[in-house]
Amino acid sequence: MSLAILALLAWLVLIVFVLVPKGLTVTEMLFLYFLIEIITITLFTILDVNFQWVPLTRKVEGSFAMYISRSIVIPLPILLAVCVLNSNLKAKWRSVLTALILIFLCLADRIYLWADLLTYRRWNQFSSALMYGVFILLTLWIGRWFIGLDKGE
Amino acid sequence: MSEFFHHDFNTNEWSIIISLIFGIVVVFLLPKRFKKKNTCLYLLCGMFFGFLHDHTLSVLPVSYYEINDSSSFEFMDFLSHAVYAPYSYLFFYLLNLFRIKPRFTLLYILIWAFVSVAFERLFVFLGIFHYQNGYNTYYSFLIYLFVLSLWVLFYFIIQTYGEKRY
Repeated sequence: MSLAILALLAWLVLIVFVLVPKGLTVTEMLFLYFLIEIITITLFTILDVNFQWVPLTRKVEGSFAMYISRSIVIPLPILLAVCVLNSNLKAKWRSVLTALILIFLCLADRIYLWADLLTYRRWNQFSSALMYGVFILLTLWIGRWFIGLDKGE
Repeated sequence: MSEFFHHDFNTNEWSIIISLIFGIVVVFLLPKRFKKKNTCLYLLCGMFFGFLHDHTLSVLPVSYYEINDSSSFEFMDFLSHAVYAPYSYLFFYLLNLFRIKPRFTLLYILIWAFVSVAFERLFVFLGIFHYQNGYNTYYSFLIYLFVLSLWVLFYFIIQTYGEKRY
């Protein structure tokens, strides 16, 4: 069942991602997606294999569900958060929308826990929220550098 | 499990460092053909696919191979993924340089798949990859054909829609 739930969640994320105006070019979005995915995979591996703070399930169905999560459910909202923070919206709206995305990512974590896809050992929801927050800021910082790269050419 | 791991700084680490330095030098020495953004994207593309496949195939439940000296993720593993960056850049560079038409891309992909398999065999010999659970290079060949086909598709999408804003 976990695979179906994650597939549904991923589909909902894709719907929102496609509908929302992002204000970035295809090149910029792909660069940021690749970057976010590399960081996500690295974080998952370090937290699971190296530290064993957040062990992932070893079941086949659960593993496929987590592949969907790390390819769509986590990277696309982070990319959306970067687009929001980089937009011309008022600061208040940018903060509110980013907070909503952060809450969504934390709720998705609750689903992983509920579906036994991962367990928290030396980790908690606060650590997770902090990690996602830092992750968004880091991506925003690199994204701003990348967006300004060809200016003046 | 640990019998095929050598925990000292030896052949595999030196191979990764030399390959990476060689790749960086090649990227810097080649005459520029792309905008800076596209160059970064083509470099990151290889790293992304390297991470994606290695962290899918080398971890449980399949665990088809181990990378470098331990099952844990180490800095040297990160560098071994960074080697894919100049590799993908060179793939896109030559695709652009020779202006390969879509009907010749299948041949181009096949040549690159053979080259990739040859390099992978070398990396297995040097102790960077350690196959297990029945995995071998023939499976990698299929993966290369698939990934390189995606790259060609990706290249034409970037060429056509790269500057389009959504």
